[in-house]
Amino acid sequence: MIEIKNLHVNVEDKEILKGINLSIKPGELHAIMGRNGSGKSTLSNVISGRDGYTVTKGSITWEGENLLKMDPEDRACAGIFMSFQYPVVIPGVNNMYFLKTALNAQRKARGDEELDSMDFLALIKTKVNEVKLEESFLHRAVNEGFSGGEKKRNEILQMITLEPKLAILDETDSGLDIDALKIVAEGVNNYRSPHRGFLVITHYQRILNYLAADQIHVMIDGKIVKSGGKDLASKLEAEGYAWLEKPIAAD
Amino acid sequence: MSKQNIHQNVVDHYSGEFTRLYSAENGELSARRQAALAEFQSLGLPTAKQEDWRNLDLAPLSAAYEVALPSAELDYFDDLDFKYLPRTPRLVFVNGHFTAELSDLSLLPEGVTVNSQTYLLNTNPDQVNLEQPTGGSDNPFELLNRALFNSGASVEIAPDQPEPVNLQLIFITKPGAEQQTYQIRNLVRIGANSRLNLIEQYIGITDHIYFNNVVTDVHVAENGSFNCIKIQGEAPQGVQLSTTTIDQQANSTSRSLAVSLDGRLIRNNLKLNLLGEGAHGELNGLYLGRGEHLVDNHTLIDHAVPNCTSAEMYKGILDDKARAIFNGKIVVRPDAQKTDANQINRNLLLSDKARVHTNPQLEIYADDVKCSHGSTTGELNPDALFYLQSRGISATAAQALMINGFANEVLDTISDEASHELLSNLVDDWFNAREENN
Ligand SMILES: Nc1ncnc2c1ncn2[C@@H]1O[C@H](COP(=O)(O)OP(=O)(O)OP(=O)(O)O)[C@@H](O)[C@H]1O
Ligand SMILES: [Mg+2]
Repeated sequence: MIEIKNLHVNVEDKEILKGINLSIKPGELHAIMGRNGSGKSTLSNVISGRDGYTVTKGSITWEGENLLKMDPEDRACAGIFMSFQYPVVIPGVNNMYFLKTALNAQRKARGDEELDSMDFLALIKTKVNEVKLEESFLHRAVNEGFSGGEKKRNEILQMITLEPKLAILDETDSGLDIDALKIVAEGVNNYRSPHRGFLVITHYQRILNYLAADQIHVMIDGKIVKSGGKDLASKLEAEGYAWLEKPIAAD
Repeated sequence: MSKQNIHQNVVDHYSGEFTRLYSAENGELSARRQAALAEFQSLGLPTAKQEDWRNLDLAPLSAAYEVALPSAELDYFDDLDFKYLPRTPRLVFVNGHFTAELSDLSLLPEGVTVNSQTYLLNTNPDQVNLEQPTGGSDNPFELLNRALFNSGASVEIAPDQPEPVNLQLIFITKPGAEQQTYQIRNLVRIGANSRLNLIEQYIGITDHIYFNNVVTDVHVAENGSFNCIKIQGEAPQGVQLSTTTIDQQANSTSRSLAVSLDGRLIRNNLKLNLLGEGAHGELNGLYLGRGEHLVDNHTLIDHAVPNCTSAEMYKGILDDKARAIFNGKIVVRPDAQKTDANQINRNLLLSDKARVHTNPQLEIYADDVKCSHGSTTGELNPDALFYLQSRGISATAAQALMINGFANEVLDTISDEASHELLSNLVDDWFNAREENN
């Protein structure tokens, strides 16, 4: 469903992504691991359409269309979702109202009927239970005063409410306790389907113990240098990234 | 002509207006009007050099306006085609004239006495309560109003009323003569243990230039409560200068919200006097500016005695070339130990040509006090905008959500549901007009 080809991206004239190739098919779960600063969030931001990135070469195709030409809201309506590495606080905007506005914007764009308040309330109550957040979080401003783990669960709440076709989880597992990690993993596993793809960015093998990844990719300095199965995650956890880097001139 | 001369001309103009209107009168009221005029003449109009009037465009305040006479001939007005609370008792004034046909006092409970000032002035002038503001007045427009006022409402609530009293004062300006001034003076007295929820609403429906010079004096007796929402929806060419003084006795509470929606120039002088121990006062404000409008809020909270608390939150949203001034002064007098006062001013700029001058002034003469203040001015957070868009919300809808969110913090201080809805709708109208223009 998404096809990334030879993607080069600059931030303020500095090349961050240096030729990414990645293809995710419906039903697949891909994971990306890689050092801090290697370009993982840059990739997810470019996929979701954030400002400030210049694509200098390459392409992203979404269900046969040029994704890079679409506005961020249109990408969301087309089924792309990113769980933010750093979810943003939106003062004064009620979390439930935000979710309802987002869901109805997407439904409208797809030609579905918008949900009224009653129907939405019924829906959101079941969803909020699934991520084990108290209902009071719905009545607070978006992410305001949420703890790190609560913010991540709120991202998953949005994911399972909006039911995207492709969900990108940018370090959603970072900073979570064991129980919260399981909630996130369940969120993903319950929503896996033959029609939905996942891209999970992580630093840790532990979340991959819960998720059956089809492929694991290693990103170094803006490139995917290696792809493989579950064993790759174990090896990275044990040995780090050094063995994947270009050998320094032999002594 | 030099500034000085222009100002002298305007002072002379108002002296002439005084002669035209009141030279035939005598008695106590007349003497007090005379005294106020003399003070006004010696003080003169403010100049930009005076600290209290800095950054303000004084021209719209310093023109020679003709004093409008409340007149039944002018008050023909077919319908109340604006937003208000239909089920709450109301006094409606059209171009200064109390208009019984539009007013509705049928639901007003006992224990409340409501009158138009014009009526009181015509029937029993010497009984008209002409309060001197506590602490005197160095504000020429308050003096001008004291000398010239001929409109407004008088509201008295007897002590020990079991239920809170709800009331709206609605002042409509519709096309009249060019360049008129309405001198409106409201007096509110709340007896001990009684409560008042007041909406004071100004609506301009005219293309004319006009000047509402409004004075509102509020007295809250022991253990009383005053809840007020001032709504300033003047016409685009309308000017309002409003001078409000709230005196609070022991254990009383007040909560005032000033929402400035429209008007070429709005200047609010709001003074809260905490005069009795255990009093609690809140001042909140939401000012919206667009075009080349200017909104100026000068507030002063005077902690005169120990054990009082005050909280202040003013937020502004400024578009186009609008300008705002926020000057928040808090005085804690030597006796006022255990004072707790906090102040916050936040501004959201929707255009790079909008400007804000914010100036907190704390004067603390007691040592055992808790005082805090803070101010911020910024634009919509682009990260937050992207966050909303990334969930499928369009850029304009995302902006509207965030601007509303910014305003909500102030509007959510309104506990009455109907009033909250009224204000939300008025603020929505402002945003919608903005979107249509963009
Ligand atoms: N807006 C920006 N301005 C300047 N540099 C940027 C910007 N965004 C990203 N970069 C740089 O691009 C590089 C890649 O950043 P990115 O956030 O994609 O890394 P990451 O792989 O997600 O790292 P982490 O594991 O720490 O989250 C970093 O060196 C970062 O400093
Ligand atoms: Mg990152």
